[in-house]
Amino acid sequence: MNNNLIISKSCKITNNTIIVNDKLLFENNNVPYNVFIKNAYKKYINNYPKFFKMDNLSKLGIIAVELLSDEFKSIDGKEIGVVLVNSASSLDADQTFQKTIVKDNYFPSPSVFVYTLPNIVIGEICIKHKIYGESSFFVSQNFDSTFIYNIVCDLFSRQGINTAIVGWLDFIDNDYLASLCIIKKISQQNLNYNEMINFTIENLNKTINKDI
Amino acid sequence: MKKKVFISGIGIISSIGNNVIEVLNSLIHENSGIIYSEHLHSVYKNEIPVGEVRLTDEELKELLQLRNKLQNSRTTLLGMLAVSEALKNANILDINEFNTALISATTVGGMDKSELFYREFINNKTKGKLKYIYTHDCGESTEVIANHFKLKGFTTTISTACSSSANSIMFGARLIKNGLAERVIAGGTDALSLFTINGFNTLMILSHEHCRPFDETRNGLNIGEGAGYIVMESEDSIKKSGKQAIAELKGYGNACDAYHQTASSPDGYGAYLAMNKAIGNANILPNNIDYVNVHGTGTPNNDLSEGLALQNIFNNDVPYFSSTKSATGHTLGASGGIEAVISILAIQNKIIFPSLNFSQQMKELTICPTSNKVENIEIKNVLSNSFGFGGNNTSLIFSAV
Amino acid sequence: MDELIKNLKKEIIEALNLEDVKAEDIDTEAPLFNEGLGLDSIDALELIVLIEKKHGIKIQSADEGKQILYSVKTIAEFIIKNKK
Repeated sequence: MNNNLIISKSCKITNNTIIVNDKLLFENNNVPYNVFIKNAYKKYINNYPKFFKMDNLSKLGIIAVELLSDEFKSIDGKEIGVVLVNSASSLDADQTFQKTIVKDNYFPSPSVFVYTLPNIVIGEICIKHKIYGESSFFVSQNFDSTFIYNIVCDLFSRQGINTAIVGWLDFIDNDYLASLCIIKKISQQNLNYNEMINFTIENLNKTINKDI
Repeated sequence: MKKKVFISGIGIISSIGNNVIEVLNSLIHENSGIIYSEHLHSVYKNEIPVGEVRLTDEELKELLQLRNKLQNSRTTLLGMLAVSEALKNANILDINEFNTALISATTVGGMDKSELFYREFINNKTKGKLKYIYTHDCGESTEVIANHFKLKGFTTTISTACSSSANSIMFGARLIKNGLAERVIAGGTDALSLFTINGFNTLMILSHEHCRPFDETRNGLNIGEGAGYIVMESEDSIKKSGKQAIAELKGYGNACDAYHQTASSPDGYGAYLAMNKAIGNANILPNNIDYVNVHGTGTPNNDLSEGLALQNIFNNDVPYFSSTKSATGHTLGASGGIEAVISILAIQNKIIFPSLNFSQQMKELTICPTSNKVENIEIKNVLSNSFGFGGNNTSLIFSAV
Repeated sequence: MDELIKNLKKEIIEALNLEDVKAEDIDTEAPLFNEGLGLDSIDALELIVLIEKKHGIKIQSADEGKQILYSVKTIAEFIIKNKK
């Protein structure tokens, strides 16, 4: 459908490791998630205290996008879109919130409730990086590369988007996976990309769904 | 590839009616569906008014003729009923005759049942009825609805807070425009739950009275429940079936407010961007819009943000606008779908439905919502806004055919 | 009063996930919102929950909360005044 779109960068975070473009960048074994992600924050961000108010899913998304942010730093925020998918929705935050509305310990927490929707992580990403383009969050069992490929192509061809953050972002019961990539429209001027991966269904599938 | 997207059917259930005719009658008679809950056993039962659907789960099952012993979440039951009506309304006898997809949206999913399990389970891990939790996932409602109607085509679930079902409609339209489906049933469903009532209450954005959207004295929203779905078809599909389209989805736009997780920007930037995109996408001008069905939740924050955005985009020449949430309550993930149906009813019946409980203009704005219904008025284009937490803002444009 | 203020600061840090902020860093009389710690509307709501949870006093509206939550000192004064 579109042959001027490429996958310019990818980031995978799981099992206490951070991998960018297939290279292991960061590892923090044998510590719980909250310690791992805090250390990643200290290494890659370190100046955004709002991070500590976020739920587990949002922290995961913020770190993953930070590692991809070079690819869109200079792009107009209205031209950047975000398309994310997961299967657990916001279940992790939902469970945390449920615990605050238990009969014998009834103190509903507003700061936790805020995160009981899966797309809030997109909100956090957009707030931090001043992204005003289109965003969507799909909940399904797997990452359907064909469906997402078509959604993204439409974004680029009709919706004034020239850069997109796309991928899978899931957190449940301390099991987590962030597998995101940047899709970009390229022009003649951008021929200095070393590893241009064409944006196709197959390549999107390989990038998001590949095993470590 | 400027394919048109037509609407051939609509289905709805809400606190003001269990189907299209009942909802239309309530809107015409300016009735409100906001009451103190009869089915939900919240500690706030007699304090916080809600837009509750008047049927119990059993009554919903009866209408659907569901004789199984399976536990269904209320969200799913509401969705099934509205989809059923939309399919009948669109004269669809064989759902798989053409390549048909279902894009459904929800935020509550099966939480209305899971929370019943959790109350017992948290205190004693041997207690709690497991049958309450297998309906929990958002995707479950979509799959059960698809299976109930024996749909073989593509299905997916969108969950983006209060813009969820508006986004379903937008994505459904894209499937058609890109030739990936000939028909799409799109919309959303959400049931009342203790989870959402407590959550919104702790954010202090619930009103303890009937909400007053766009009124100077507004003090919060009323949560509602319900489901709204539309059947969209490609031009070819409509021609092949010899049907009459009832409306056209002329344009849509989505943008991010990028301001706060739950509050809207003070100048309504995200709202402005979404409306602007939709109007551009429809290839019309702002002054071609005859009616805006606003998001209008009745919170101090939303109505100011949205009001300023309206003034901006229409250059202070704002068309008739009203918030039908004053009648139905804020149906969260279902609101985009429910209000899509209401927008189409406005076009079909040539009526601008009123914004209830309005009496005092907001001091920051130069505009007021329509507080009395306007009848016998030609409505060519309706703009319908759905703005969600996370800054996810969507605007849809429905047009007369 | 001093003991209450000291504990309040610790409670605030914990409730609001204020990483890397120590109790001694919080100025008792400085505004908590907009300047100072730069807390936002959700933090305000969370503080309202904190005051009910740890001190048993219920604040009914966001507006009422605004004045009470101005600084650590005003919160402490409110608690002392209303504690049963």
